[in-house]
Amino acid sequence: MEIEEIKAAALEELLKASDSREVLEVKNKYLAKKGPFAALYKELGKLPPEEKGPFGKAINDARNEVSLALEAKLKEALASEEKERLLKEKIDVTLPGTSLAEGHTNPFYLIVDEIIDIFVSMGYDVVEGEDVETVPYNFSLLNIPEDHPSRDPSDTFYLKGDGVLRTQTSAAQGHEMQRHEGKGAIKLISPGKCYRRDEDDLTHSHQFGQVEGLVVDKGVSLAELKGTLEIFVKKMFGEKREIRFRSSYFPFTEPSVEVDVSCASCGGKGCPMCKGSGWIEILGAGEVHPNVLRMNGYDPSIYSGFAFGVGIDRVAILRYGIDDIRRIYSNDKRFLSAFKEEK
Amino acid sequence: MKIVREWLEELLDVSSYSDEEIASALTKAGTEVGSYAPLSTATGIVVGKILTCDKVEDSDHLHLLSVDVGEEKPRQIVCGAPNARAGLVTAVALPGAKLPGGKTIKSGAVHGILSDGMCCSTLELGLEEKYADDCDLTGIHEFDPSSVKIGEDAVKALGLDSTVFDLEVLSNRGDLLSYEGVARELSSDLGLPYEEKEAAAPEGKEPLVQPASTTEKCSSFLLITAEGLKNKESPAWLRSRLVASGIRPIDAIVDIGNYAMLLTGQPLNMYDLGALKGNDLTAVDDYEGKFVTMDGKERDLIKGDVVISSGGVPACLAGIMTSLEASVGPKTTRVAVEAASFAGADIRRTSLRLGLASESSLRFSKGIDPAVSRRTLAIVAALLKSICGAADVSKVACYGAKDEKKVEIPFSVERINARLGTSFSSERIIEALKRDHLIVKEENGSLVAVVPSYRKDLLEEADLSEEAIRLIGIEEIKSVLPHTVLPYAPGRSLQKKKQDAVRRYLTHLGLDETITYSLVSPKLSAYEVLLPKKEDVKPVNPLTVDHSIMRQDVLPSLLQVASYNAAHGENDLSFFETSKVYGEGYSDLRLSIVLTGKRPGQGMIASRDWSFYDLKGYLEGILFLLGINEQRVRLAALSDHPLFHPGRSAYLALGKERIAVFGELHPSLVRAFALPKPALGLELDLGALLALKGNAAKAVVPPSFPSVRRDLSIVYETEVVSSEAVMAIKRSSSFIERVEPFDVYQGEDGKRVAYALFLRKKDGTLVEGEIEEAVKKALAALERLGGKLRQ
Ligand SMILES: [Zn+2]
Repeated sequence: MEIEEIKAAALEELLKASDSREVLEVKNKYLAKKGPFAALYKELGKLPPEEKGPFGKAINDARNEVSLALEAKLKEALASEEKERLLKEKIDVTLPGTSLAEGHTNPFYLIVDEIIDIFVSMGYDVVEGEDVETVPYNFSLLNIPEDHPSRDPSDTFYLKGDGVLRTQTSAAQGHEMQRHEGKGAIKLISPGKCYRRDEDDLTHSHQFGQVEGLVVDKGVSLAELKGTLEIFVKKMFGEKREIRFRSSYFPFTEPSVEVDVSCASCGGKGCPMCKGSGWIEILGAGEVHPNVLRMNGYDPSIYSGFAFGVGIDRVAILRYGIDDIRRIYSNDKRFLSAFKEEK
Repeated sequence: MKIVREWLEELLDVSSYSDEEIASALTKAGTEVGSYAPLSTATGIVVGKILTCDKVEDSDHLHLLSVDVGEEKPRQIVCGAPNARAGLVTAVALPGAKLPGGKTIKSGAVHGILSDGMCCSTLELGLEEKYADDCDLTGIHEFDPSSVKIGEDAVKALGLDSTVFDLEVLSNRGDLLSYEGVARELSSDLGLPYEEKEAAAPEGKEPLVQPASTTEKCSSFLLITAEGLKNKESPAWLRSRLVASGIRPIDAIVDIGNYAMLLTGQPLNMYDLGALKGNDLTAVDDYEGKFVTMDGKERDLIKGDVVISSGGVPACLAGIMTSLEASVGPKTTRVAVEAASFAGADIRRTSLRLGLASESSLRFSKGIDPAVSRRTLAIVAALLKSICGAADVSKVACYGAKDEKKVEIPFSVERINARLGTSFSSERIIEALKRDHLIVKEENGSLVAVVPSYRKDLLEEADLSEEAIRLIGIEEIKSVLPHTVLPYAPGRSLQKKKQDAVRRYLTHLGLDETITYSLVSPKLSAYEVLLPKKEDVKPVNPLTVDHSIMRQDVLPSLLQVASYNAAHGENDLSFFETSKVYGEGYSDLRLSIVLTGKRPGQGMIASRDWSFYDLKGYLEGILFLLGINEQRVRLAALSDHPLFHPGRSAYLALGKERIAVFGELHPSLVRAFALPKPALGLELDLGALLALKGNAAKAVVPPSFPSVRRDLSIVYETEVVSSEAVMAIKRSSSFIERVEPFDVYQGEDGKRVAYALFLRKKDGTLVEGEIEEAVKKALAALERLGGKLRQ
């Protein structure tokens, strides 16, 4: 009878216990070395052998029952206490994180980096020329005649001697062809800054960027140029844009073409952005003039080539809807903050 | 070049083609049509005659008109034009008429009186002021009553209804600066037959003056003279054609010259024979001195300028403008008409030098076709007779004109196809060349194209490939990709890749990347910091002083950007730029950084002022990124730089060369640019760093034994720089693997620094005794520098 009483008392106290501390107190009271169960085991020793079995089993059962109930209650209490504690540690998850915001990139670089990526993926080399050039490389070796208007001191910045601030990245053509000594294939783009003696206004800038492209090899045709520019234009302006090739004139290419894309603002219907034509001019290109090959050491009866030139600022203006080319060079933080590398 | 459709149609039958079709055909074949529209888009304007004209009471300028517009009854119109008068035939906008500005005319009350329409000037019909008659500038248009019918369309009567195409003629196509040239080109583009109109040369006596030349800059000189002229206003048809083509009518003689030039492309010069000093007109290029052009301005001519003189007196600046004295006027009765051929480059040079260009000089600059000189004079002779009533027109006198040999270009269809990447049949290519008015013949089994004299741009086979494809159409080319594959892995150079990595690194850290002008002002150039500088590279012809020197440093440009942004209310700035810079005989790739105001906060971590250590951190980060360990460069305080804070700046050296200066900017600089405070800057010769090979990566075996940390807090009474103390600790014991200063305090009473010492033994676990020993040695080393253990 005593066993059942102890068990009942323990379970009753356990029922009253309201937290883990009180559960542990119950545990210490009943299951400790000097607790009531321990005392029962002592009594067990005094019993005659034949009574030991049943009595011992009864003690074990009761103790196990109490012990299991204790553990269960303890686990439950600890869990609810932890939950309570965690809830007290609650923070406002809508407050800002400690991220470090990335900086902004001038749209000029976004365009030039993207153009380089496109052509590198098509197997082109990247060759950077110098802003300070000479008259031969900037003009003569490109078949630009002595009296061509682009050579006028009103259009070009001349330096002392035969120096000139390059007016076009095409200046790379002579350098690269000569470096190859008239042999082997060339397939490169050359991005860089160019200078023309223009007053800065909405659409003109005395400094601007260009990317020159040049492929020289045996059998490089206008069809290859056309295929190349179609891929480039679609990548740069979107698959949906239409492309138009027009015949044109540049002293260093023959045939020469100009490439237009359909106007994004009006979809080709005509608007102020495209001056009503539905088309926007984006680059000039052509088959390298035989004189250019010849003057730079390539035999035009064996080799041919194509070249193209893309205006970086112009592409940026069209792509991002920039209203004034001078904004690019103002580096106004409020303007720059709209531009991030596209990923 | 402006081309009016009505005149074009006289030369080529394009009646079945719309304006848009004509514009698109020209554009595709290389002559871009910028716009096409009639000179006037006004509708509902009729010719009307003022029957009565009465002053409106209480008004100082209004008239009440009764106007016959060809209807049953005259209309009542109130009009404020000073030239309104009974009998005047003018242009009337009826109610419902639309003017070019978008205005619609309604009947309504003017000054309380009903006005049933509006009398117009050509300005209101959309004509530019420079083409308007005097009456139109101040009042309403005055028609010649004999040339119009009451009630007819006034816009049509004015010749303003025909479409005007605005052509952008390519610089190698001077032949398209004429109506005949454009008609011929369009016939090629559209595949229409074209025939030049014949003109019979005058059959009079010898001219009163003879042409001559003493310079090779004039290769031919043809002229006629005419007598018994009456100079007056040109007839309306001639005036309207000139206006539509963008040339202001002057008087009949001048207008005839301009008209013939527009038609054939041959510039003409008209001399008043009575003003010529001799019986010759001679081209010379050795005149120097003053010369008054017909615009009344005095010009300084130099040797080399081509001048036409008569009796040794200059009468015309060849190909550009007549002298004031020799030019024709209202009283001119005898003229000499010059049709010469001058070297384009020389005319252009003189024209540029004097800042004086004309329709003639433009055409000579681009090259004219002397083959049309004679025919042009014949056209002029006929017009002088019919319009000015010339009685005696001489025959053509001629200096130096000879038939030029036509250019012949041998070509092969295979080579043209190879260049184009096409496989057109020879018939197709030959057809295109013939359409282009080239003669194709076969000689010794190969094809030869004979080029017309006006196509000075066609010289070799490559030019023929362009002619073929521009007329066949570039859209006929099937696109392919280049077959060329480079025999190595192309792409960005290693240098460029590293430069881009540095750019990305700084962007990721939150800095904004700028692009600024390479050409700077002397004022900006004076703030360059990475010394010594080489001689500046300067354009000899700068446009403005603001852009007159190629910069040798990028930092001043960034200071300008920071200054601009601060002026617009942005104080917390961080910019960088990588750019080539140029000095005499060299170029560098530079990196510049500017930091002003506060470093942005991160979420709830407050923002704080930028410090020297932020900037130094960026520099260290770049070195780390490029794999350049600190032993390869040397960093030291920069105490003597006039543009930096003497106590808060440093330089980085590679060998003996300073490759970077950076730190807090000197207050004088901060003031000069009105920068937010604090302001820090860096200028780095990035190219020098990129040229270094980065330390190669090599696998290491992770240490087997643990590392132990001990801290030492030291008080200094002497000035000891951190790098020196760290070095001393490291050298004191081989167990000390790494030292990190932390918790630095600089007060009035000295400096306190705590160092974290990381110790490790390679071949076993350190025991307490060994640790104590090592720490003691470190302390002793610091005591030798004047430090004491903090109690
Ligand atoms: Zn548009």
